[in-house]
Amino acid sequence: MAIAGARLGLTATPARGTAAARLAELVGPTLFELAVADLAGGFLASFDAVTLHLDLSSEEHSAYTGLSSVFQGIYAEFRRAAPEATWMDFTLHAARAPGGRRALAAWRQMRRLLAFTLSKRRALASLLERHRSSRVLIFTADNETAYAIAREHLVMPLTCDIGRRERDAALERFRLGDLRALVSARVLNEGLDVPDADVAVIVGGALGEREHVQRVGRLLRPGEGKRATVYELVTRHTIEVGQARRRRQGLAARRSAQL
Amino acid sequence: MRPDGLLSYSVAGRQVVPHFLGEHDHPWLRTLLEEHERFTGRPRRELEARLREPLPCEAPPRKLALAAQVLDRLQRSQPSAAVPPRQARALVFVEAARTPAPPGTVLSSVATELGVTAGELNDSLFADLPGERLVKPPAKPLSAAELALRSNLALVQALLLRATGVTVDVEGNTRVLVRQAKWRGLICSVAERSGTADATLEISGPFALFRHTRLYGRALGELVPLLAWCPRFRLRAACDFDGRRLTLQLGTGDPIFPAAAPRQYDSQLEERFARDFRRLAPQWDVLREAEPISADGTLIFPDFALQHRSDPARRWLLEIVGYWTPDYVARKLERYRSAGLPNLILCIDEHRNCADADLPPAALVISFRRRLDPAAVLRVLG
Repeated sequence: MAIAGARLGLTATPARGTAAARLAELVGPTLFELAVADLAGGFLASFDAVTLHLDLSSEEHSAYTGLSSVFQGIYAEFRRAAPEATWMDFTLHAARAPGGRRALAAWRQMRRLLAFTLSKRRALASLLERHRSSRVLIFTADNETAYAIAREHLVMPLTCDIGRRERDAALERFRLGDLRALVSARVLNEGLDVPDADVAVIVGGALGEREHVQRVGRLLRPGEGKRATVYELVTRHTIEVGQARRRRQGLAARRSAQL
Repeated sequence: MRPDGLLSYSVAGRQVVPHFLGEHDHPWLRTLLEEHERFTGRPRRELEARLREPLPCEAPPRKLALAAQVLDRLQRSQPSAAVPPRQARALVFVEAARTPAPPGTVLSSVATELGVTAGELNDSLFADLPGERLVKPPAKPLSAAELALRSNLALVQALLLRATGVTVDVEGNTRVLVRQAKWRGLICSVAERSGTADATLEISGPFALFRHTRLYGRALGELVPLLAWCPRFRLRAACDFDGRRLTLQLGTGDPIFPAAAPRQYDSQLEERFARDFRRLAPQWDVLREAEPISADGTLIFPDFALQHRSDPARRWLLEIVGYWTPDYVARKLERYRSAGLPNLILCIDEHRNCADADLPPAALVISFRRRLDPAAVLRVLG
């Protein structure tokens, strides 16, 4: 029994699935919900979401297919045996057997391959050129890709390896316009205020819907006449298609006022 | 501290049994060394990515992760860069934002301003980041057998981070071990075993302390390879594994990498104190490493004896205490009092308090920060 007579829960990234059920148990049902898209143009800046569907090169495609078959063979077998199991259950199970470890290794290699494909390289170069006068945030799936982009395009990376003081100095330069782009895997996801950013390029992500909403949120501080653009680079016929679909759910308009 | 999930051990009853690397591990250790050599000169992140994939021969994942970490530590060195990396980043990325020139041109123009080549500047950009540092060969060529022994040492040291208390029975070379424990500042008492020159060291474990637990744990771990210099030893550590009290045992002959010969000189702190005190008080002799004193079943190892030249009856013993808790200091003072050693000065580093309470008040305790003030000692001598 709680001491408080009433409890109010507020969140920018509401939980879904079993976590949502638990939340409802603790705080009660959702009374009012607004998605990012509902607030755009008012409390938040308007924005355009553009998904660029990209292809793998023939070499990348054959490597991806090989890795995918190694992974899928073992993963599908596991799912058949334990349909209710989570991804965490699978990783724990897989780590205990040589076949499972091979599947996990194939999974990691797939992720690495997709992190910064040839098409993504070209698309990013073209977007940076197109938005030379904008303030651009580039989001990657991992630090390795962030550094690769930093080297290739001479864009300042903000990662956990860069010290706090240097990161603050880089953000200040970004606000002043001395830096026109920043690239990051996680550090820019939450909590940092970058109101001047008006273009985001999502090269890759690992954490799903919540991460995506937070990332897009970096761009949506309103300004006079501001219209932000979010580019999402998605590789066709790969696991990225499903990932992108799932993470976009958090931005979709779903007004459900029940007051 | 290594995550427990990466440590290779099992539990039998109330014993924690480390899974030591042995000859059966040498084939994959050799492969690991070959892979390491193959990646020499390339960024560490590439080697790390390679080691996340299976090796050509079967390697137990936890042992492999441990051995890879040990190998990494052996080659770790300060990053070298033609331009300080932070400065390189500040200049290059701002210049790249200012001009529409391609990256190569930007690098060349900044490099010219700094008086280095574009390649050197490019190498400097992330030279300070862990994954971007280049893989270097170990300082000395390493065999699979040595890597196995070093990994075993790392395993024991990691397990000892969970120790609440450690007991070491030593036969022979006791003094060397005690001195090493003292130089590392360990909270330690030494009991003599009747009729022999052997002793039992009781050492606090990091898990029993509130502060400095990591530093203290590292200091405790450094004692393990020195045990090899004792003809016979037995170590028992009471460890806490998520609330379970387990015992770790080590003994003579366990496959642990031995330390280099123990150093025969004192810590810098002691050396500096001796030098400064001689200058300040030339009428006093500073005798280093006075003989151990037997007191009520325990052995006391003073660091110095201070003796007046014209009046040798004026003799004081001085002990420098490393890590401490108020309880530990109180027990020590009580032991000295009961042993009839009134002329003993305890010098205590304020920064190495491992508890939440303050030092107990006592006339013959001098507290210091980093440097022991000889004038403060002289004031006590009168």
